[in-house]
Amino acid sequence: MTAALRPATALLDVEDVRVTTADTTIVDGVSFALAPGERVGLIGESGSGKSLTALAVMGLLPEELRATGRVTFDGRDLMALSDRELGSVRGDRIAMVFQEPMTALNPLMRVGRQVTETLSLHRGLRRSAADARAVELLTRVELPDPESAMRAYPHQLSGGQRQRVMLAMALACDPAVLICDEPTTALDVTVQARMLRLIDRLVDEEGSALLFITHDLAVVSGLCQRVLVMYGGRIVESGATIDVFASPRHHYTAGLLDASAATTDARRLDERSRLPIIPGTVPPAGHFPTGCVFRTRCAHATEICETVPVLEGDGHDVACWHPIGGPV
Amino acid sequence: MSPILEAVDLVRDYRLPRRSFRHPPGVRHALRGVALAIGAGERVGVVGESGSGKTTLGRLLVGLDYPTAGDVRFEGESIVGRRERELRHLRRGVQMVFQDPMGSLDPRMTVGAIVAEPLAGLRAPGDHAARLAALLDAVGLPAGSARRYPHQFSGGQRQRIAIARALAPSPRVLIADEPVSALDVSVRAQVLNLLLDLADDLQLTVVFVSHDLSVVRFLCDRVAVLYQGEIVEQGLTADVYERPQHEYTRTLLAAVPTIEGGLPGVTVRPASR
Repeated sequence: MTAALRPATALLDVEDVRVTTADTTIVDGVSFALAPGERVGLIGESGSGKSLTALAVMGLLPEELRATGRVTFDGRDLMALSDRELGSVRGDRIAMVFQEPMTALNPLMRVGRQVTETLSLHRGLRRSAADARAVELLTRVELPDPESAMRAYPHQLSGGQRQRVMLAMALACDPAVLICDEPTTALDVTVQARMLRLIDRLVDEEGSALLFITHDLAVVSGLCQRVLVMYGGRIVESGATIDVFASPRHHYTAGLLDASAATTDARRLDERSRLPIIPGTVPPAGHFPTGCVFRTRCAHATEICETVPVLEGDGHDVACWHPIGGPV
Repeated sequence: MSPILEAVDLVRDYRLPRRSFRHPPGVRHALRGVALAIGAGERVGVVGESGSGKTTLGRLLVGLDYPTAGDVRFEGESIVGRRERELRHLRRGVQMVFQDPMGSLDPRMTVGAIVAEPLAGLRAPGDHAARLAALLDAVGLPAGSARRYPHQFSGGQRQRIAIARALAPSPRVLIADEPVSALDVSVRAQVLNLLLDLADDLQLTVVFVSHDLSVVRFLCDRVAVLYQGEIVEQGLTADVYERPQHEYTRTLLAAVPTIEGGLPGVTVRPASR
């Protein structure tokens, strides 16, 4: 592991996290660190293990999955904590916004109660104080008419409004780390733009570190200083957003960038004005090839790719035997 | 040139559930007078956000729903108010690909049965087995797919199955409602390329309904922007994207995040403000 990935003042330090089922490994040796106030994008397609990595950090994995490794937050190993101890950190110092607000919110509970729940649990606020703070939070996430939103049930709000309620709940206790798992994927573009601006501003005001999980490279490029690219349960490339996006070193990252950018940039189209593609499909979780996880879809794969490449570099790291631009 | 498919001042109102005995139920105006003429061989994009009426428009154009007022014409003939057996011409000529292939493919039917169903249903002439094999090959599915079931395929492959089924009766017009929005980025490009190849090879007219402006820009010659049930702007794709006239189009275009747009400020401050 390189020094650049480990800021001296890491707030959240994830080391060699593995998530396994009874017979398969879904997340394989993921390590990264988050400095206070830093914004990191975790990019991956379905089956890449990006969401499971976040859930492992939060200690929220479903029962049939097991996580090993170390997650150090503020000097404490979260994976060694009891459920009770973890519960006092989760939602307080580390908070999460999920992709689907309709499933993450309780449909039988008024919005106000869901926001104040966190406040009374972690801050011991009484009803009136918690209510006042909840209104303040809903105002900050730009919900129109926050007082009546307090009395609304989730189904009475629009998708964008529900997602802003999720954000208000996550920010209730001024978390040091905010994890957002595809928070805008289900939203319309104009609503997404508003939500992104909001996350950007609030994270800035709170000074929280941000781990932003998405499949959309364009979203990350406006929001995060650093990115981690995941494929097949591993981080295959990481570095400053500008370096990774401007000169990707992993063939998977390059393929993703081409495929996403070509729809707006005609220069990236091929001679028949077709989109550049990555051949094949993403294998289902746990069915990636041995060695380099991308080798079955990679045009540059050779025999050596049957051995797992190490993620290495000088801050712009890549796990590839034949990286773009020559050996590491 | 007369249009192959035409929406003439389409209005579609849906009744909302009744909330009170004293008041009549409310009405949702999904489409408020939409006029859109689609020429043969054109690739037209219909963009809009959720609630804009874009899916309603797509459903009306294939005759899956009927308008409250206005008309839909296929090859110059009105398809509104016709009996189902009078619509065989339309059913063969206009086909649809839906967003979610898992929701639109019957999980208990084999891929072969799914793709061949329109042939049998429409009593298409010719050798159905040969046609099936040709279709599966055209959409790039592996040989032997016909005997397997939808759940045995990945998302991108399922969308290929849906495309094969839509193409089975040799339609002239293909209406695709968000066909790639459920797909991974790396697979999306493959399916978009496939749609373009097929449109070229089969001289298809394509109506592409989507919220994704960049995909529409790539795929379509012409674009119509739908907002609250009305077309607020339409024109050649290049014109609309480079010189949007309507305020809403400008808002919509400005909201699309791009890799380049985000990059310059990223190391200091996010560029999103």
